Amino acid sequence: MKKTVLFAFALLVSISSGFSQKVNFLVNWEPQAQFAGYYVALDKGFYAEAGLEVDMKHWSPNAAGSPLDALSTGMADIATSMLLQGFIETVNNNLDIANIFLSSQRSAMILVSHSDLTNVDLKKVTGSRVGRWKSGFGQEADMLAKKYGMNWEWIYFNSGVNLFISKAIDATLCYSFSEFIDLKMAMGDIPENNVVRFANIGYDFPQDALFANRTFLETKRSVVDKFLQASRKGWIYAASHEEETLDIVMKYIKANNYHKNRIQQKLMLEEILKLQINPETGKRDFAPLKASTFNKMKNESSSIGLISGTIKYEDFVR
Amino acid sequence: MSAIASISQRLSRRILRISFLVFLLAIVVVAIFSYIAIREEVKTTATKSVDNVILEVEKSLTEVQTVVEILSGQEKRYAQKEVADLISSVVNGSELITSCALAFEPFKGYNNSFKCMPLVLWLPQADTLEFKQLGDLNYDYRTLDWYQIPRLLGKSVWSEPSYDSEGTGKIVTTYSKPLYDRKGEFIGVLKTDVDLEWLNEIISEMKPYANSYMTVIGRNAAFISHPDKDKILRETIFSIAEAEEIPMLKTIGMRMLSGEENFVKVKNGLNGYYGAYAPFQNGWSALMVCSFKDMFKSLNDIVKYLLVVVVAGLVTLYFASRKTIRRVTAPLTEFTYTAMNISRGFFNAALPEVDSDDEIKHLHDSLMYLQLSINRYIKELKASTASNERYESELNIARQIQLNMVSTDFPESEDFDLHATVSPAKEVGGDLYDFFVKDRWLNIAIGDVSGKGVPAALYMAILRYAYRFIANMGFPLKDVMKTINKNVSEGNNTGMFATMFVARINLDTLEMEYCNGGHNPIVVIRPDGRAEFLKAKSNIAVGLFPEFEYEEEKLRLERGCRLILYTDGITEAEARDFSQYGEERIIGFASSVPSDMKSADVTASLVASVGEFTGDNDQNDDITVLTVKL
Repeated sequence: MKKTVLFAFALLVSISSGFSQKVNFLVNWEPQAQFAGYYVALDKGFYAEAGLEVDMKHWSPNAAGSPLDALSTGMADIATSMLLQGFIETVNNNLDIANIFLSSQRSAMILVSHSDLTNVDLKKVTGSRVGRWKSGFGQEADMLAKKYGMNWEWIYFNSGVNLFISKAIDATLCYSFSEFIDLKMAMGDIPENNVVRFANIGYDFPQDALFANRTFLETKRSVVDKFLQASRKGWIYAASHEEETLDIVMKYIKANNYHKNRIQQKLMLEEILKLQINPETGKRDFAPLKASTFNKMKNESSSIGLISGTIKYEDFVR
Repeated sequence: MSAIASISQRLSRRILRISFLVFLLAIVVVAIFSYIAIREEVKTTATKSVDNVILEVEKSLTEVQTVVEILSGQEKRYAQKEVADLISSVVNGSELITSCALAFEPFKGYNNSFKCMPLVLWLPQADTLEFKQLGDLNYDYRTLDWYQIPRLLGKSVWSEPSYDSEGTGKIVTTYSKPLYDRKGEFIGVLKTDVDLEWLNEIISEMKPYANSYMTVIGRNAAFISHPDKDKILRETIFSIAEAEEIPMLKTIGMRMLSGEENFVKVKNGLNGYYGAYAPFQNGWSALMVCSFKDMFKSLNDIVKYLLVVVVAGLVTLYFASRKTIRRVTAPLTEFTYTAMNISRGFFNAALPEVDSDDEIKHLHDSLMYLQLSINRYIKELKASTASNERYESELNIARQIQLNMVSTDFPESEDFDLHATVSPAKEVGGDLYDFFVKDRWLNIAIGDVSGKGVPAALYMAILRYAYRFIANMGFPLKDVMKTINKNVSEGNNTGMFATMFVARINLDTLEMEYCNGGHNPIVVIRPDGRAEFLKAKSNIAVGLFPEFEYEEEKLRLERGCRLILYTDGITEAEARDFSQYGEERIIGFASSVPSDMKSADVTASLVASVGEFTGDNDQNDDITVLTVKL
């Protein structure tokens, strides 16, 4: 009798594990509240409930290459990325990936200056040293600089805010949910007059997105759908359980031995959740990329030579 | 006994309260002055601690700067050997330096490669130097702060501290110097790492109070040193201010970053702190935090001890004062017994002997005087009471005599139904009424003598008999009144007078003759129930002018008519609000009298109506009512 029970249990385990679909999920930065919804989905078992076995890995900002390259080559099945970055890399590197989800509806890109930018004509600000990420974000700033012929000297940095604080640069690009909060935590306060938000000057490209390996997407569409459904659930849960979500985020941060404090993550989560609100509906509806936004992104990128080829909306958004 | 205890308790409590307030005030004054003194002492201690730390840290940092600047200042050739010598000598130049590297711009290094970064590490365990080449493809030093900032600023800088790249958990800061070739072109950065472990050691020694601590923040407000290791390089002063909702801390942080120095107070919920801060030359800032708990511990202890001593002293004072007061007031107990005996009627009860010459002696003398006064008063009272008893007895007899003067034997007749009542305000009164039938004429009279009491009663007696005697002789009523008036006016030295209304009714013809001598108008109720005052000529009251000529009048009544005669005790009866019963109420009453009501009931109802109107008020005048129904 005992042997029979053990055999039945072993059979059940083998059957259930046989139905579990593995997903290699790559997050494009070190652990932080930017990815809170995915941590929640993982931690609260939303992925497991969907029959998924998600293996989440973080991409080091100091690593060579790009997380989307890794996605394209099949090292990962699904990966997070900045939408514009993902678009440009997809076209230029002919990556075998597609956009499957927008976790932001607004642009988080900000230009912060040491000086008051009120009534300053950005077209006339030439020769300034402006910081940007070495890892390649900030193409909106390229569009802006090219459009108005700004002769800015780009100073590339890995991460952090010390370059700006030391006044080695005049201004810096940053994200509203990340470096901008770090700057506030380092400087105490930043006057709003010293800030230009790209969302307000015609470059409101949604910030965060999910991309999938095209082969994985075509062969395992149902798995991708389950992943997205569980991820949405994770984000909605995060929006209504902020403190619990922060606990989960801090757990991942500590597990990876990163030095980030809770209040920064709290402010980051609040900003990330704010960026998720669709400005047209006022809701957290995770609307897909609009064709008009895609076309603007494509045209702006093409006009300044950021992309060398082209791609159709239907091929990029799947 | 309880009264004595109460006095001693009250006095003791009062002393206790005053003493408590005085002690409390003294403690508050001591506490305030101590607080000011302690605050100044803390300010001095904290400020000195901060200055000492800054002095010591800057001494070390200057040592590193000096080594780097001197050794790198002369070298303008950067061949492999010279570079190795330079960075080795820098590491050897100070015990604080753990490593030194020279990172070249692309193709500016001695190996003419894209990246070139020779590094010398000091290995303390082996007591030797290790030479490394770090310029591989995966390590892009050109975007790191220690390389970028001095390159862009064109001057040597201390970078913000960070954890070392080897992952040992050590916090290091880097002194970076931009290097230029003979043409002045930038060729790279000389990077010198300093382990900041010694900083924490210095700072941890600065602990003037049990819970005080010092912290150092960098130019990015991050904690470089903090007693809570989890906060180091993870929290900034602003993240703490935000997380713990202390706006003041944000202000302090901004002032620290702007290079200010100050001594400030910060409140965080129930906890309070004093903080002294001052800047380093490289932009860092040190903050010494002293908790109120520590600073004022000794003061709190002193205040606690003082409070215990004061409470103990006050309890002692309470019982001691209570005992003393009891002893002093002990004779009062005997006085109390004496007073109680006096109150029971023993007016000559013995008083306690008192030898002192104080308030107690005064009390003794006062009680003695009281006894004498009471005895004298009682003697007088006895005499007065006996006299009053006699007077009251005589007055009661007079009352009976007077009541007997008015007839209460109301005849039963088919021609009329008559009833009357008199109620003196005092034992005897001045009101009168009378009636009699002679030769089918019903004679009725009512009068009211001025004043009350015995004089009025005597006057009333005279009038009563004068009327009965003269009216019985059958004279016209004007002559009856004239005769009565003449008789009572002559020799009237008292000034008394009386109002009178006299009438006679022919029981066959119902013709009424009447004469009014200044009396209230009588009420006539017609058979149909209509009530009205009888119109009468205004003659004067009797007893005033002996020769006055009275006029009489006539009125034909009907069968069923009812007359109500009354004195002003009815109309002038006062209620609590001083309003009077008045003539309107009489007419109102008369109008409500049923036609078949007996005269006795009418009389009683009117008196009851007046009684209901006056309520608890005493009767202030004689009340007389006479009613007759034909």
